[in-house]
Amino acid sequence: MKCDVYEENIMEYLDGELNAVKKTETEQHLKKCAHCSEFLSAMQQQYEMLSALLLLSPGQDFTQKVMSNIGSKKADDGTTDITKMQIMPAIILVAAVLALCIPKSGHLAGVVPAAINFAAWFAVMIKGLSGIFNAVLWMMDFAVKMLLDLQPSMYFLETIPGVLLNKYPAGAALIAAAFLLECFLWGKLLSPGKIEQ
Amino acid sequence: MGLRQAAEENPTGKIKEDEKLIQEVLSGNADAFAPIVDRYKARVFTLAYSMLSCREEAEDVSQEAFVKIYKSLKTYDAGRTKFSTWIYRITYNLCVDHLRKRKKTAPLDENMPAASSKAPEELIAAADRDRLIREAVQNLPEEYRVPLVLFHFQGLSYREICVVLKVPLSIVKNRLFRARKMLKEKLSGGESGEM
Repeated sequence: MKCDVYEENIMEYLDGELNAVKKTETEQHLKKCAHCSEFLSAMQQQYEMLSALLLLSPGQDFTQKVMSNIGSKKADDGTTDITKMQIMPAIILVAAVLALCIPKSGHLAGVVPAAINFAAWFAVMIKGLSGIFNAVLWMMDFAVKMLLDLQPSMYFLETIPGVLLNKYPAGAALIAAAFLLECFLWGKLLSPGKIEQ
Repeated sequence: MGLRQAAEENPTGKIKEDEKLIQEVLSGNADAFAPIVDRYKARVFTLAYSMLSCREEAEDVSQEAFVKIYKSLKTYDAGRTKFSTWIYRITYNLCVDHLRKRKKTAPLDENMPAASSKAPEELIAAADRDRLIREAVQNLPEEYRVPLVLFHFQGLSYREICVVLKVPLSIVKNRLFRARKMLKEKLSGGESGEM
């Protein structure tokens, strides 16, 4: 039947997919055909009903589940968290022991504060690591420096490896160089005569 | 058309944001995938539910879809397909696989009860009419239901539906046409029956 064609056109018309020629043709037809006008309004009603329906939502923890399925650090499962929880106290313990038996002078004196510095920087780099461990490392770092009565001007050096670590995690050589440089400079600062007035 | 514009909800800004997030994920920041999931989860889930008629299965397949999207993100070609279309294509394919497996293992599931018995929580408050429409859509044969859902719920164009379903334009047009005719009959029949 002729109107069948128009019914199809009417739907495409509502879908915004009808070309200009067919559109005019359909509009002309709608003016004189009661059946098709009725069909148009019925379809418009259906459209309105359909577009009023909301999308369905999956469960609340959906995104979290996806993130743990793809193995994102943020959504890591418990096992990795446990490993981190074991590693971090270990690092802190070692650093604390080092801080306690820290040589006040000599070549090795510079290594400890530098090592603690770098441990803190690496802690920043381990994604998902809780801020508390970080804070503890920084505080220890600070305490060691206070203990050794070091010049605050040394702090600028920490910015360099810090930036390098953040920007180029792969630049291990640069980091190592920065580490050695810092060890050397700490050592110089800590060498006898400088620390004891 | 006013109605059509209302359904279309992916302005350029959102596409740009998508692209930015995709780039971030590709450059190694897996966490940038979370906002992508948040943005598309309802649409992916709605499509999966419309095909599987079961909340749990739809949720599982949606999970699978996002993992697949994440893993194959580097193969996504923004120049060729819209991101949303690509996502629906992946979801659609997984649902088809799932339905195939379901048929093999439990042929009785062919006549699975549709949405009727267990309306999702968010719909309880909604009007009865909404429930009726959703049921009517859910009870359409799959090949007619899916293009309808893609068009109305996901705001896809005819051509985008062609890409998702991998069928020619004439078939998309025809299925949409028949789906709406069926829906019209179902709804008018339902209403007169209620009165």
